[in-house]
Amino acid sequence: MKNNRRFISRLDLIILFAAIALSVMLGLVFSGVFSEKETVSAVIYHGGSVYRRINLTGHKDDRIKIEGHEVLLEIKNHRIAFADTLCPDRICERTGFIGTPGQTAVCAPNRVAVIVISDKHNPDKDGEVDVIAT
Amino acid sequence: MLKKYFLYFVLFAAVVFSAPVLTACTVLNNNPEQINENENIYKNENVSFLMDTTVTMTVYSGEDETGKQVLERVTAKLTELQNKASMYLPDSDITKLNESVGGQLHPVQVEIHELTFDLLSRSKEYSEASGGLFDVTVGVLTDLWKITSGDAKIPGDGEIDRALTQVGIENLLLDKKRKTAALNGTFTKIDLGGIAKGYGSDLAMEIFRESNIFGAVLSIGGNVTVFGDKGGGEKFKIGVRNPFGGQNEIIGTLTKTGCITSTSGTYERNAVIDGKIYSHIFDPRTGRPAQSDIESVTVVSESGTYGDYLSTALYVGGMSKVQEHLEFIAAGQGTDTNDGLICIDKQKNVWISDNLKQDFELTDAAFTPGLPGSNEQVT
Repeated sequence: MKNNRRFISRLDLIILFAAIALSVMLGLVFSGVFSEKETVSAVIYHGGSVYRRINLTGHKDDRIKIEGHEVLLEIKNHRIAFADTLCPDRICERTGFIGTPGQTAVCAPNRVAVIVISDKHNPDKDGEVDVIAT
Repeated sequence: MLKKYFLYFVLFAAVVFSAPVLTACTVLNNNPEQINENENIYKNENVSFLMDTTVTMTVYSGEDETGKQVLERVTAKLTELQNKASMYLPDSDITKLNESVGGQLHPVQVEIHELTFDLLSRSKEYSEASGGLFDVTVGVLTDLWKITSGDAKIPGDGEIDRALTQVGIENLLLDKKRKTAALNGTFTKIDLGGIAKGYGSDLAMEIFRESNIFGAVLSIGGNVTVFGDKGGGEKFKIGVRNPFGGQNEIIGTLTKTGCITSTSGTYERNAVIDGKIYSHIFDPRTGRPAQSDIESVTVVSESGTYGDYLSTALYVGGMSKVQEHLEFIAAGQGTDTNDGLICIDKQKNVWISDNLKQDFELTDAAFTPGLPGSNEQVT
């Protein structure tokens, strides 16, 4: 007797497309496209080269000393600041804690700069600028 | 029927295994320097300490190597400028020139490199045009007051008067043919601090223009150069510093490219003596730190050298000079470098030239827009 039922029915096709859609969605979720979480890091430059890169998002409160210099950085509540420096103007200490991507703190006399960066490229985020004219 | 269950099993397996595979592909493509997978946009950046300040630079290019080369070329050029034009480095042209005075009957001719000579020529031209508001011969005042050294002091009136006898752009003699300079004073000193960062910005802009890049943003201690865009048409956003706030606080944003900004203000590089703030910018007419009635002034220009000079001169000249300049721009009498300005006075009024209004957005409600041409505020 001939079987009139096709091997792939309409329901099978729907399941097939649903499976593909689910697969793509899971892939995107795993890749972090829909994730609101961003990793914010502080890049510490010393003398023009990267001294250390710190993941602020996952870093607990800490103090970091720049070897060979009287520069002490402090990490508190996922933000970073120059805590104690031996420099004439102390502009760096007055900057306070920074933790928003794009923010910078500089101790020019000790040639130390801290720049906060994000792993996400978000051009339209409010308040973020590429550079500050000062 | 069995075949059908087999198909469902294959589908289920596909869903489970394809998700991590897709994720892995994304991660592999997510080179941190390649910010756009579709259009090959590479972002390269560096930080250096040059010209007595912090230099940050970001270059967006279609090829990774091109971006890296541009960073290196600009850094090398700024290092060359620093080594030739600093008044603090022992072998610089300016140090040699400054040390040429003292004891001689006639000015001593000092050989000057092409780059420094060009900067000195521009400095002399602007000093002469400024009506006394800008003068690169204030070096003797820089040494006398020591504002940025951490050891600032208020000199006696006699010391200031004596120093003032050495201030005057006529004391800088330039021989264009021989590329020599001389100082016609007994202890005259050149200080290019009010103009060198702008000149460095121009040198960088030249390199950006002749390079095959999408765009670049450079900050020499807050003097900002913007060229092109981030690739794909995404524009650069420049924050204008809140002079009453911290290093990262801004009053608004400027969305503009192909320009250089120069800012003069009291809030950075000053000295507090007996509770009073003294600016590092000198008034060449009085021999004392400028007592300006404005908090900061930013000039936006196609010429960094001119902009740096103008922001210094406007700061020294104060609000009356700023108003004059705003009217000058409003009347369409701007220079060929399309200068615009943003000025913040002590009452937190923000004065913006007509040619920048479309590009500037005031974001801090504590500041009020001023109206060029009058002292009335816009409500």
